[in-house]
Amino acid sequence: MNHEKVIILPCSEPDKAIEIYKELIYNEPDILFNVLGTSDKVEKLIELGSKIAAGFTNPAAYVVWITDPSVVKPVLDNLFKSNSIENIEDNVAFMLSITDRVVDVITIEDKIDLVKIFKSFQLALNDN
Amino acid sequence: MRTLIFILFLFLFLFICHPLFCQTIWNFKESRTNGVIKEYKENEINFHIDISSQIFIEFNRANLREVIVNKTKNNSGQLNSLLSKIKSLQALSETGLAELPLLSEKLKDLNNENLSVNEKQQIIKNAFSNISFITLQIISAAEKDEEFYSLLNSALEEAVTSSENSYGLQYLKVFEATRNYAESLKEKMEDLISAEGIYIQMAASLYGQNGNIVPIHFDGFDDFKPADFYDPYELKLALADEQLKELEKLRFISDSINKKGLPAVVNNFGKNLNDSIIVPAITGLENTFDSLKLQLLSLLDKNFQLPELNRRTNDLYDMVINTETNAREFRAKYSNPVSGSDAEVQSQLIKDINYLLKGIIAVKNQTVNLIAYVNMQLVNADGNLRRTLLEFENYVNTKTSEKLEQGKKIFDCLAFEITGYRTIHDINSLTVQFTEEVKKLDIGDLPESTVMDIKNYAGYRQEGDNIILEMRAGKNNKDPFSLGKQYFTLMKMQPHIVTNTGLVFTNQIGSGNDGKYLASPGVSTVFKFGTNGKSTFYRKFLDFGIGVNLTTLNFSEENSIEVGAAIVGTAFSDYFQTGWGYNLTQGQFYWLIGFRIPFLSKEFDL
Repeated sequence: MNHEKVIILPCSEPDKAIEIYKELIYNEPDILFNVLGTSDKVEKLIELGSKIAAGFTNPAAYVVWITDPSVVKPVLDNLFKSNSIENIEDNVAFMLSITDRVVDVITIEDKIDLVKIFKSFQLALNDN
Repeated sequence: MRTLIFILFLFLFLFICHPLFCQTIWNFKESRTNGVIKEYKENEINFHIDISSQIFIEFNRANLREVIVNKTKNNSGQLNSLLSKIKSLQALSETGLAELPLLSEKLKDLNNENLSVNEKQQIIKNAFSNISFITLQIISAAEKDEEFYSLLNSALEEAVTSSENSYGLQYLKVFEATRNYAESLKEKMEDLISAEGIYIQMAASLYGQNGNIVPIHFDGFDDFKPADFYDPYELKLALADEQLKELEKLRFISDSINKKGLPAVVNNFGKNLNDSIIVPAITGLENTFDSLKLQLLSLLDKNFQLPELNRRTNDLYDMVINTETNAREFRAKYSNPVSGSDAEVQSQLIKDINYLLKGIIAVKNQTVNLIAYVNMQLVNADGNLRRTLLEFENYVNTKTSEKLEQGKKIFDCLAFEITGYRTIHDINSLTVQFTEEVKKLDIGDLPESTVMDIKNYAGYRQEGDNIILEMRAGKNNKDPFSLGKQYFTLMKMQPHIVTNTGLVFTNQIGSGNDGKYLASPGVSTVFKFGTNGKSTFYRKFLDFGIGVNLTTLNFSEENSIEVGAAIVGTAFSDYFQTGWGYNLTQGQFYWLIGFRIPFLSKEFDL
């Protein structure tokens, strides 16, 4: 895991978490790979995602770890709603493009590997 | 953005199609006897090689496989889909690798802190649109192929665990893995080709100047017995039969010149040339055009009378109508009632007029029928005319093509006789002879390379001979198809000695003979310098030489045979010679100018 590329939202402080998350999404054209919850699969996603993100400095890419998604639910609802995506609960990760669109979602059933994560990054960059 | 994607697709399409049009199935390396190695990388139609060389042929198996699959009809779906997958992956990897170096340039403005978020987003989108699109295509292909997917995972693992991990390195590893995987698929294609029952053959034919065609043996490719060894560079002072015949003719020409004078002989030569080549050619053309003229005349003769007939029948009709009108007026004039004997006369007159009118109306109806008939004939004649014109046009086209082809043939013959080399038009018409002795090989049995050993296997050959090499493939009992063809023209590129006959004009030095030149037949043996073969112009056209000339002289009427020896320099393939000599019999020096005369010993088959 590349710790420098992982941003852990402070879910114990909901207001601060929402503020940081919004700033991350809307203030810079970064590639954000968002990982939701806590599980072995989530850890693997963070590990692989941070490795790919480590290659991106300009433009920058980060793994945003949201340990308790309910804390930032309004923000997530807004993102998913605007992209017509339902059943947020089934997802363990999603990719936000540089224009803040949800371009890929990873569910609990998906096989996780570097190609899968790299594909997410490409979808974020191929933001037409 | 759509335009960009369209351009990218177009580029990919062209990239995929490109190899179909210019795939090289082999590369050639020439090894000459003096140790010089020359590589032929460009795909020229005709290579000029040394007459005693060995040509190393290295097969490009990957391209060969592709050409075979592309040209073999009714392949299995498996083979075609494998080929299409290989091409697609090749195109994607090559396009991606070409796009990669452009990324940093496209992103350089991103460091400008004054840019808004939107402006930065735009820069990133523009920079990554192509490369991310290509990468997504690759991943999409990998998702359907477990082995490829696994290779991509390993490639990415290698990139992300590297100390130099960057998006550039990640892309590079993905594109390289794609390219390598496409290469590995090509190996699999060979097994499929063999399973389809496709065979390949390779053969070469040597076309000599005397019209002989000799197969050249390739180890492992045929059962031909190699021709007897022949060294074209070996010094041969004895004259060939052909040269002896030339000398005989030159003796006759020189005697004529000495007796009648050069202008009369040149005039006679011109007349002979005129009679043997120019007049028959012109007469042939004249005959053709006479025949065309006759066809045209008969065509005109057949049809030109009909419009005249039409005009006359119309005139006749007009005349009948006028007569009818006159008769009606006449009848009207005499139809008023009269009394007495005049009434009888009038009654008889009216009867006569009515009878006449009846006759006129009958003639009118006949004329109308006649006009209808003539019109019908005209319509038919028009059809005939058009059909005949079409036939006439076809006839003209055929005759013109025949004459043009004949003209090209004459030109080829003349050029071959004068320069000693076939024209490209002539070379292109030569074909390789695939006889029973040429083996049918499985593609798996094709070696990586082979040698066309002209030096040891081609037998007797001369400068200007041509070799045609061809590889072809076939499937079951269907007609084989060509995979590649290469033409070679043999040249003497090493230093060598040439013996030529020629017409020599000698002038005694200090004889006080008023500069009178005497003609005689001569034989020159000259040394030719070697060439590197980079330019064929020197050997084909300039071709300087230096050597000795032997000729018979007649300086004094006392001696029946006088022999002269001279040092000569030659140019333009020995067509021009000049030198300084000594009459060995008379003990006198002389100047000489000599010329090689073409067409002395050859008959033209026109």
